[in-house]
Amino acid sequence: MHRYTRWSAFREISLWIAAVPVLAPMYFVITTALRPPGETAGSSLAPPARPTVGNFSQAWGQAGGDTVSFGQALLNSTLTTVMVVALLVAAAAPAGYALARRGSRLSGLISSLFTLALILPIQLGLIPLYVFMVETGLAGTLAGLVLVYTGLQMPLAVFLYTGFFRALPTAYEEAALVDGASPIRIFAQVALPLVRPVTVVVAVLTGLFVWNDFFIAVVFVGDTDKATLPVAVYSFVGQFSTNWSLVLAGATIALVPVLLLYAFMQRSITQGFTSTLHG
Amino acid sequence: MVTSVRRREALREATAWVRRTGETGRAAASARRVPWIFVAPAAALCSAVLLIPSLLGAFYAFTEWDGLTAPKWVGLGNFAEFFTRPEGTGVLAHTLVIVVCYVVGVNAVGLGLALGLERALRTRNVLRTLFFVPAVVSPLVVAYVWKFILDTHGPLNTALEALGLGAVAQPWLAKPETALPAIIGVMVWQFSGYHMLIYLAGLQGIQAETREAAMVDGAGSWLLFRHIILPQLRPAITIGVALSTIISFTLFDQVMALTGGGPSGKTETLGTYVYKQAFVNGQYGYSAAVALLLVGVVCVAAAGQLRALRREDS
Repeated sequence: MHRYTRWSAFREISLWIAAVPVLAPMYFVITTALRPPGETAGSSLAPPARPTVGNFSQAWGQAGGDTVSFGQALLNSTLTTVMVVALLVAAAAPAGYALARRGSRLSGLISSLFTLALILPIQLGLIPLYVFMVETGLAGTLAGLVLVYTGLQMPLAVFLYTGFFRALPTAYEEAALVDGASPIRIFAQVALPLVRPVTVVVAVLTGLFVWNDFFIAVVFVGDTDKATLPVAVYSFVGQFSTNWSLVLAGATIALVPVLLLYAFMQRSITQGFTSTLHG
Repeated sequence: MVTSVRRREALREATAWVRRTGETGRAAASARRVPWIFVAPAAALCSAVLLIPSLLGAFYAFTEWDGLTAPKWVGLGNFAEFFTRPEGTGVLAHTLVIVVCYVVGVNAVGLGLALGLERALRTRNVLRTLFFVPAVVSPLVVAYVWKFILDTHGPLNTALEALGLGAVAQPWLAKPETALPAIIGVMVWQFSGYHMLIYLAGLQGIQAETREAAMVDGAGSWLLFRHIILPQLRPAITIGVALSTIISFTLFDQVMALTGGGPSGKTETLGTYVYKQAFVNGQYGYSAAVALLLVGVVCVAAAGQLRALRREDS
């Protein structure tokens, strides 16, 4: 379509120069994490003379101080993310459907409340929420954490679903209605399957947020055995802050699951990130 | 696989049908049958976790409260305290500097990368993946990686010394003049690729014909960018600016990992300050007041952006 000109070659070379700041940290992380304790970490740019995976096994065994191991944190993060995404889809899809289909003033009002919640920083409600969670015994539990994340990500999920259901024609729903299907059946068997791309988007965006978040997790499950991966990394770094080989081995362990997921779902994730453009 | 193809076909047929008949989602008869109970779980969860606690937080902002005993009404006392405390205005200033520099930086770099990657390149996909991948990983872990690189004895200073630039080498995160720019730099580094994707999607929407017509008319690349590309990228710019604004106002993870707010409070932001006042110092009322201030600043920024966009429209 476009010819590969000298200008294209210039652009290509410039972009690879711009990519050096992206590649260099990756190189430093890997070489440092593989450096045996004898070789001084940090002060050498060359790869380790005798690379070792010892840092990784040591990091895996000692992570998270006394409260949580990397394995436990990995399990906590996985459980939390899966449950939040499932609850979000189950609650936000019907809500977005109803808000898109009912053109009344009330649905406009509810929609604008969700939009307001979309830009509302969590900091304001955090303290009353925390006090409430402590009083009900939900603080420090995975159930409590799931509840908080689900509520916080609900505005985004509802916003995405509403936008896509609005753009979705009603012809098939009309046909199902004529056939005598109930609203619940129409939603679950006709409308929802048609917006499966949005469900992928919601899962990608909210799932990555929950998986990577540190702030909410440290407030609600910090210093407990329910800590998620970022919290475990935080405690781990607090404990071994000067031992960079060990710290970066721990960081690499924390990065691997998401990078693997990205490698397998690259298209869905890329679509998820840009879909807010069309919503 | 077969079902998904069938679904896509169904969707395409239905869209064509709408185009023919002009029937939209709202006007249909099935619309009135959707029961309100569909909204209830989502509305309940969002209210319980976000809206009601925020209203309560706005109330506690005007009280002195330790979370245990009954709150005591102090009017605007907490706000007065924030602005008279030595660190107060600094926290506000750091946050605003971060927001402005980050929003400009991440969108400029993202747009630059998108323009560079836009058309046929041999390694286009590799480069795109490379630039985007930092955006999917944990900001906390990214911050620790950079804490290592920027360390006094870290690779950056070692490299500078090796290049004979030892005079430039310094403890980047331990000095007030370089710590704040370093935090902004790490954020721009991580999320430029995300903004690149937003602008790449925006550029796809610009018709090749429009561009070619302009080039035939003799428009240079700057004129083309200024008068054809930039105006059509407006929706993408709006989204890019709004997203980066919200993210940077509530910044927390990266600061906690890189500097913890130091050296001597010189990188404390509203996000870290609210957290520390509540969960370290136990001053819930005061912390809620600063959080309310944060919401106020975000609202002013959002309204400002909206006005700027409307002015451009007219």
